[in-house]
Amino acid sequence: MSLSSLRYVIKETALSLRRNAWMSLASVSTVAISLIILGFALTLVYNTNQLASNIESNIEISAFILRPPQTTEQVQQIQAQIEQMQGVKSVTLLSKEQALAQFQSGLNSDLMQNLGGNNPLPDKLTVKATDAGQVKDLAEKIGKISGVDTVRYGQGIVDKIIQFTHWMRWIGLTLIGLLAVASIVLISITIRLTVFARRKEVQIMKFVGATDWFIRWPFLLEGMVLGLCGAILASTVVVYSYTGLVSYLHNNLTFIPVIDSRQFMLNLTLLMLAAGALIGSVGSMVSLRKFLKV
Amino acid sequence: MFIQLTNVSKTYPNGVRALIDASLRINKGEFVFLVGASGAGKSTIIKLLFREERASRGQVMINGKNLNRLREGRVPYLRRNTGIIFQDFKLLPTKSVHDNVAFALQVVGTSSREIREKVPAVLSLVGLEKKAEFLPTQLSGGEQQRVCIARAVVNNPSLVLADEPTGNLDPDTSWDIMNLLLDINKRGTTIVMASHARDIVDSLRKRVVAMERGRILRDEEKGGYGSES
Ligand SMILES: Nc1ncnc2c1ncn2[C@@H]1O[C@H](COP(=O)(O)OP(=O)(O)O)[C@@H](O)[C@H]1O
Ligand SMILES: [Mg+2]
Repeated sequence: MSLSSLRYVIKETALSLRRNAWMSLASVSTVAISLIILGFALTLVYNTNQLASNIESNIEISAFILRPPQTTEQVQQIQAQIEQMQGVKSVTLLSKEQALAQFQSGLNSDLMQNLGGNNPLPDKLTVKATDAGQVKDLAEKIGKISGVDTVRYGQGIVDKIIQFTHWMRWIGLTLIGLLAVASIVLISITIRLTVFARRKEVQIMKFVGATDWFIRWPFLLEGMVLGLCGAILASTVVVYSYTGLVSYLHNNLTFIPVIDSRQFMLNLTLLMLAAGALIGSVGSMVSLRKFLKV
Repeated sequence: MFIQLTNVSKTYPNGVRALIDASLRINKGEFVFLVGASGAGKSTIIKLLFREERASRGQVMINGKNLNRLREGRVPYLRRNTGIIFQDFKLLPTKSVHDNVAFALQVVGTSSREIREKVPAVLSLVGLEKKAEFLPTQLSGGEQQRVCIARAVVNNPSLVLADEPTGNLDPDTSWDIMNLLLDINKRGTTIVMASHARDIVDSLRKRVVAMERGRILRDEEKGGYGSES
């Protein structure tokens, strides 16, 4: 493309954006709204994912063993047996004596006297799994070992969080999908207006031998500019409000572990810009296929 | 051989048979009138020659290329070698005379330097060098047609198609336009012109292809508009 043609393409794009100011505004706002939702949905999904994996990585199985009937040697055997199971990262033993010592330090000794020197506490094996997904199976297997009295693990919370992210993902995707379609439709209407306003030029271009792509470029560019404007608006809103939220949480609700990284924000912005440009060009193409018979 | 139509028929999607079994040969550098009543099929021949329409049957050849088989992507390049002139001029009302002509060069990727050279040259060829900055609405019909001609020939095409170029003009102005087209023809450009203008066709004694209801009735060197010649 020569410099004079490039200048032509840019000039025409700017002109028709101004000519269709209201439609352009409507398209830009719709793109912005759908991308804002996309941005927030993504931050939410990523954050809940991180929360889930945080909890998952802390998840432990507690296996309690009563002595008697088991002996100290048998408890050690059980520990060795669990250590050999697949998917087990570590097994630590808290013996009934240690447990009692811990227990006592928190209470007055009178109470201990009343127990008549008996130690009612079980031995406790704390098992960490290599993979959170295996915790349930592992817990069941450990429960079947003879001598193991009770098994406890926090599967319920993780399941709920995973379910929540799952739903979030679907609701988010559906909403984004619907809004993306709406944006594409609005952009294609805007481009259609441009095609209509410029039908005479298009006809002459065809007669003097402009290639189809040369004719399409200004329209495509217009759609992409609309999409990108929406994306810039949306990423500004999302980045500012998210960083605001993050600093609020850091100061007030420190126990909520939110993602706070420049890289995450940068990726999110790039993704939104790409999505905006894509929505814009798809919108133009839809319109060009229908209304620009070249 | 430059242009050759061999047993060409054209049926439009609505079923109108605009051209029936037409055969025609036009050599390089010829000036050919297509004459006939409204609806005879003159415009259809012109549309076939720059691939606005495709033949339903038969062959349309230009410079050895079969236009029926020409790939869509090659059509623009065919048109860059074909100038086209309309009865209603088809100028862009918001662009100056200069810019209307420059537009035809810009959209085929001509460099700014070439545009700066070619546009004034072609405007002086059509006698509009003094009105380069006028808008089409500030020009007479004849002047507007000159702009249309300038736009058609600025790329130095070897073929110019003119569909009733004098149809909207008074007799004197029509003759000015005819003289311009004859000048362009003298420089070696083939011209195919559809026309209703009986006196022009009769007095020029160029080749005449007479049509009626989609058929070619008559094809004469140095012919006239009517059949008696
Ligand atoms: N695009 C079209 N669709 C359907 N019919 C058409 C179309 N163009 C021309 N025709 C018909 O084809 C016939 C020949 O038209 P045309 O070639 O324009 O004739 P002329 O230029 O000699 O007046 C006419 O009956 C006209 O109505
Ligand atoms: Mg006609």
